[in-house]
Amino acid sequence: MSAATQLYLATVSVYICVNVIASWALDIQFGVTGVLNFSFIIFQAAGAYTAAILSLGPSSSSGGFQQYVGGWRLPFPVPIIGAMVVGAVLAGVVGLVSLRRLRSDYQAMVMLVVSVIATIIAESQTGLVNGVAGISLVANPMVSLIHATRQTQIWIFVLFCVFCMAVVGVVMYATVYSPFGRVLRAVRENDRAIEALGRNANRHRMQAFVIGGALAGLSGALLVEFIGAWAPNGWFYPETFVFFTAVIVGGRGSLTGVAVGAALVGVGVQQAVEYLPITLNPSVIASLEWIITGILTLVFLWTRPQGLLPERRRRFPAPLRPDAPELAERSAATKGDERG
Amino acid sequence: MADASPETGAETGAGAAPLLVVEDIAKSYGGVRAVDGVSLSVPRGSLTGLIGPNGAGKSSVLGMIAGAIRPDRGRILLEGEDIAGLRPYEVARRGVIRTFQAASVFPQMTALENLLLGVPPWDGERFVSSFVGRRAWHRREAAQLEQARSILESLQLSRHADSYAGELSGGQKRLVEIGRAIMARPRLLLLDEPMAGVARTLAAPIEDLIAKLRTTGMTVVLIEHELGLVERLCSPVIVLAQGKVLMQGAMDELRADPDVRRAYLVG
Repeated sequence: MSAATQLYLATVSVYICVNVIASWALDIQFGVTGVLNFSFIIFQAAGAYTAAILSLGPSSSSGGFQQYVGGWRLPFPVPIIGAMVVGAVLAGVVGLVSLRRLRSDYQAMVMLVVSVIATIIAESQTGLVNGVAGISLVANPMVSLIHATRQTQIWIFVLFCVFCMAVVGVVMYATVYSPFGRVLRAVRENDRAIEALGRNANRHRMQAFVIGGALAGLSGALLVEFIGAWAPNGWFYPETFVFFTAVIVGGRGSLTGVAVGAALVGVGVQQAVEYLPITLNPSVIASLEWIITGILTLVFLWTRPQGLLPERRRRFPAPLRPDAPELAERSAATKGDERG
Repeated sequence: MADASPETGAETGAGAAPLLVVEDIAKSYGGVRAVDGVSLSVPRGSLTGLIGPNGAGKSSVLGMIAGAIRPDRGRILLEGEDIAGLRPYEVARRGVIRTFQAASVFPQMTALENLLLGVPPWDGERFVSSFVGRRAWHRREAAQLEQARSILESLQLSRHADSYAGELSGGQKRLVEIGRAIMARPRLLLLDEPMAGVARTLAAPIEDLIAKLRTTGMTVVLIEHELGLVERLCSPVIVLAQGKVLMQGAMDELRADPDVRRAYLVG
C-alpha cells in the first residue's frame, strides 16, 4: 500500500474516532439529557487549543511567528488530560451562565451567542491563540516518544485514538445504563416531574454538560495532535450542527446509533463530496457538504426522528417465580445435591 | 397492594398533631389574587379533600405546598418545618410528593422505569456510582425492581411493565404516576385531579387505589371535581372559593351550608 493511501486511511480513521467521541459528548448533553448545546464546538476548540499550548512550548521558541498565552512542552498524556480539564471547566462556566433559571429554548439561544462571542474573541485577540491564522506546527507528544518511521508513528496514533474511543464508549455505556443515566433521561423527558420526585434537574444537566465538555476537549486534543494545526475557521458555530446531525441521524440517546451517525455524517458525507466529479463548480462542491448535512437533519426530523438505530428500550430481567421451570429445576438440583 | 406505608411511621388519627399546617398563604398574578390568605391543616393519616369551583385557587395552593409556586406571604409547616419557598426537589426530599393535573410521566421510558424513578434519591444515582460499587447498587436496584413490579401488579399494569409510558392510555398513565408516587413512600401525597382525562373503565381502579392508600396510614390531599368521589373517600373536606377557605368539615355539613351551596354546590 502506498504511503499516500496509508496516510489517507489513517486520516479517515482518526477523523472517525474523533467524530465518534465528539458526537457521544454531545449525545450525553443533548441526546440523553436534552440540553440543546449550540455552543458545543467551543469545547472541542478549547480542548484543541489547550493541547496545542501544552505541547508547543513558549511562543518565542518557534521564532515568535505565532503568539499565544502560556506555552509549555509537557509530556504525553498531560496535554490531552489538560484539554479534558479545560473542556470540563469551560462547560462548568458556560453551564452556570446558561443552564440556570432559563428555559431550554433560551438556553439554546444563550449557547449560540456564547459560541459566536468565543469565535470573535479568538479571532480578534491575536495574543490569545494567534487570531485568525490559528496555531500550527503542533508536535504530537505521543508519537515523538516512539522511535520509528513516520508511517508507524501515524498508525500507532491511530491505535491510540481507537483506544480512546473504546474507553469513552465504555464510560458512556456505564454512565447511560446506570441509575445516574436513568435520571438524566428523566430530566430530558420531563424536568418538572423529576423535580417533583426530589431530583435537582439543573444539577443533573450541569453534570451531563461537564462530562460532555471534558469529552469534547478530548476530541479536540486528539485532532490537533494529529493534524498539527487549529484555527477559528475550523470551529465556527455552524460546525456544531454537524454533530447535531450525527446525533439526530444516528439516534439520540443511542450509543451505537450516534457512533454510526458520526461516521456517516462527520466523515462519510465529507468524503463522498470529495469524490464528486470536478465538472461541478468548486464553490458548489465546498457548500455541498453543508447542504447535505442540512437536508439530512430535516429529512430525519420529519421522517425518522428516532434515528437509524433508535435509543434502546431498557428491559430488566424478569424475576424468577416459584412456579418458573428454571427455578423448579434449580430447586430439584439443590435437593439432589443435598441428598448426595 | 405493595407496602406503601410512609417512611415516618408516625401515629395516625384525628387526635394527632397535623402533618401539614398552612398559615395565611397568598399568591397574586399581576393584579389577580389567586390565593388570598389561605390557612388550613391536614391531619396526619387523613385523606383530605380540597374542592372548589374553577379558579378557586386549589391548584395554586397545591403548587405552593409542593414548591412549584413561591407564595407571596405565609408559612407552610411540615411537621413544624417551614417549607414555603423551597424548590420542588427540596420539598420532595422532605417527603412531599405530588401528581399533576395532566398525567406527568416520562414518555420515552418504560412503565417500570417510571416507577423506579419514584424511589427517593439514592447513592446509586451519583455519577461515580456508574463505575464504583456497581454490585452494591445492583442489589439495591433489584429490591426496588421487586417493589416496582409488585406495585404494577396491584395496578394491573404488569403486562405493560416494558411499554413506554407515552404509549399508555390516559388512565394507565395516571396509574403509573400514582404508582410512582407510592414508590416514593411519601409522608404527604398531593393528588391533583387524579380522575381528569381518565376513561370510566379505569376510574374505579384509581378510586380503589386511593382508598387503599388511606388504609396504609399515608396522608393524602386530594383535589377533585367529582364530588361523589370526594364524599366517598375524603374526610375532612376543605372548600376554597375565590382564593379563600370557605369552610372545612364533612361533606354532609358542607352540603348543608348555604355559603358553600351558593359558591359551589348549587345544582
